[in-house]
Amino acid sequence: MGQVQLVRRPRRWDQPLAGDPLRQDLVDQILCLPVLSGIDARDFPDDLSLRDIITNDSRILKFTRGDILYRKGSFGTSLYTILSGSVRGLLTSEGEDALKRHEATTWKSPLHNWFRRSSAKAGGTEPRLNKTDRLVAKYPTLQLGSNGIFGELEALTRSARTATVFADTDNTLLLEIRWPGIRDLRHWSDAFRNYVDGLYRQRALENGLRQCPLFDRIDPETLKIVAESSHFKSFGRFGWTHDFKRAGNGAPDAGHEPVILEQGDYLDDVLVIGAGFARLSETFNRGEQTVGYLERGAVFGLTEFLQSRRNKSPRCALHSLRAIGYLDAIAIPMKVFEAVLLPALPHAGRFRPSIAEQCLNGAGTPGPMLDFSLDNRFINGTRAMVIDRDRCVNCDDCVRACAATHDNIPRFVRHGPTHNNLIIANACMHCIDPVCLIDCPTGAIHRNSDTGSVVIDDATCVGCGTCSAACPYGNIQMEEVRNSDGAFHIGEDGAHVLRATKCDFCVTQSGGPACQRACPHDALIRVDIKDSRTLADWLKHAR
Amino acid sequence: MRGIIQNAAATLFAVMVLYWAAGAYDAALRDPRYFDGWVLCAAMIVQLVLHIRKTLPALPLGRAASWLRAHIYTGYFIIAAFALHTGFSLPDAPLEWIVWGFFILVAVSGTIGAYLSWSIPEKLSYDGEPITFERIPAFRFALAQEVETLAMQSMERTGSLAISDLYVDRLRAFLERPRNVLAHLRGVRRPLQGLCVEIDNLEPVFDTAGKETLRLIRDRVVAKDGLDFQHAHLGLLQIWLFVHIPATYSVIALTIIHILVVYAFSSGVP
Repeated sequence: MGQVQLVRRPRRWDQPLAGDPLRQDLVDQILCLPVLSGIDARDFPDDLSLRDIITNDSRILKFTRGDILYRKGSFGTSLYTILSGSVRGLLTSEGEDALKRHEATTWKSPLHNWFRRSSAKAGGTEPRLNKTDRLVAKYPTLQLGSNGIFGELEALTRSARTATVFADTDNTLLLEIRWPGIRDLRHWSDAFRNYVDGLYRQRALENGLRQCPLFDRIDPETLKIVAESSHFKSFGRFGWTHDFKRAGNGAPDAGHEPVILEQGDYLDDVLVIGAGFARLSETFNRGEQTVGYLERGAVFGLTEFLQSRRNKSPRCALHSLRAIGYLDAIAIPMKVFEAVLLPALPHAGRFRPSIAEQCLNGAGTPGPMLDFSLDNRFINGTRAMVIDRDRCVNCDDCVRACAATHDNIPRFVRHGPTHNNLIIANACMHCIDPVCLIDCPTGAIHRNSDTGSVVIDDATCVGCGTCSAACPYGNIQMEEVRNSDGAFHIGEDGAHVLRATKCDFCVTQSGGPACQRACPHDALIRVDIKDSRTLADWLKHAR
Repeated sequence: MRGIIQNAAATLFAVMVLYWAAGAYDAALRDPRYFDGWVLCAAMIVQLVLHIRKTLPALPLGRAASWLRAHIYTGYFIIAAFALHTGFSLPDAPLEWIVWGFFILVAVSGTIGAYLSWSIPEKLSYDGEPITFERIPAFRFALAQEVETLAMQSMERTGSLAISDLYVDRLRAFLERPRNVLAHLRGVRRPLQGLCVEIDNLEPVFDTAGKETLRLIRDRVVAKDGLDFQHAHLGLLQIWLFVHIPATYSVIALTIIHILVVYAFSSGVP
């Protein structure tokens, strides 16, 4: 204790994506690609040159026909450009299901899955698909050839991959640019930003509709027609997280929840939620009470549409709709919905309001709990740490277990907002939209590709504190780095070397989160707060 | 509730099997105390698994909650096995009295601990913010400092010694360490009410600023009483472990001695 060790402060490009920096002749060739050729290198600052970004934040990958680049539902924020050859993406759920069925029934499935996991852990690619021809012939796919770009949807929205993509030809060469590089290219180059954002807008409409559970069985052609008639609508502020943090958690402010529609407003469009959350409320006495919320893939206006059709009444909103911070929605004109989409729905003949209501989240949750979850934005989390005070004996076994599995430094604080007997502890919730990883200079904070858990790579964390400042819930701490003898690391400037730490959901532990497993009184659970059934079952669980 | 019934039924079944097996051992003209004694010893070793699970949280050894449940029901089984082993009678030798005494201490402290772990959290959860036991002294010190500052400021501002006298005579002692532990455990609020009445009685002799000072002091006294409540109950949750765990290790050591003595003086026919 008290000893120090002088170290070189970690820097952004200590670990280039390719392992070593790309060769400069390759960089020259890459800069001539259509996606990058419009960029003016003079727009970039000296300490963040275009050449440095490409040299360190990109790599070239080679694939053989049938190699899976990534799967639907996996996580990744890289953008890919095809240098040679072509790739294909599965367009429909049927295709994805067929792929899963094939893999599940093949005799070598366990070995295959083990190999897939080991390969992914080692940073390699997934094994190749058997029977690629049959898959391509039987199910709709989208082929992208030379200079094609893909992956921008997930890179910009930090969401799960929306389709399985595999190499269509032998010797398929791809350029991969990781998120920090994409972010800086977008920031400093208008040309690149316009190019990528244009591509995003073009694809996100159709893709957003395809991600909606109600429409996932509709054929791609019909969705394309609907997408052409639909348009994007955005509500609220993208930087809501900073406002929320400044205001203090749990301090609801109407200014942070702009009204999209008031109860009784006439509806021109059906809204499909693309990103973010919306609060549904209805008039109660002289105020309003929350009745539920909508999340990505939910549809607003369907119940109203069906009721108006049945009762021959005007299409008026049954609830008020507010953006919780920020909301992206696809607006489908009612006429298009009625003429094109409704007849194409598989259950069109027996379509009832109850089907539309399936989109509503939180309907069964008690009002105060619902308000608590929405006001504190806990609905954004997928693995919140909930502690039942009626069972917790304050033994701190959870904290000790966390410390024991993380170099004796616990990754959470057993405190947090309280509702009745429940504490939502200050532990990373592994958000649906993890804003903490947007501005990480190295991409050290990222999502585990298999599970989606937000984790920090200690080797590449430079301790800048950006993620800690961005987390609206204050669940990322900065700790002083020490060596194995306990001596503090001191940088060239004489200051302590810092590192961001947070709950990693024990991704490296085979048994799951240590905190939950260590609680002897079953007083702690890691749960998606939106999953009210699991929460209720746990609370009812007999001791 | 279904889980409790199932576990209790399984424990009862295990006890019945042990009773039947000991009877069968006896019917075979062998000494059943060797049999149930070794079963008892094995069950006591099983009880240690919870401790191993707790000290190795990183290993995938299942959930501690499941192990604790197994620990509790195995404990009930052990009590029954012990009663069978002793022939439902008191010991008749000094060493056996010591083993018997420590076993009773472990069994009683464990049973009480299970009850406390079940009943106390609910009491604590409806009395303010959850507090870690180790942090209570820091909070108490902060409250004491605040009240002292308020008393000093009041004396400087008004020149009156009423509040500072109250602080010196009554509040300082109340704030400097945990008080009224037994009253809190019994759920009696009388000591707090008494202090609050003393503070309220001063109110008529002060102006608005003085009344505000008294209100702030009263809030802190109530907060300190809340800390005492938490301290009393959280302390109880820890104290039983200070009895249970050393007594457990004593029983283990004494059991080994007991086994050695039994075999040293046995006739060689188990």
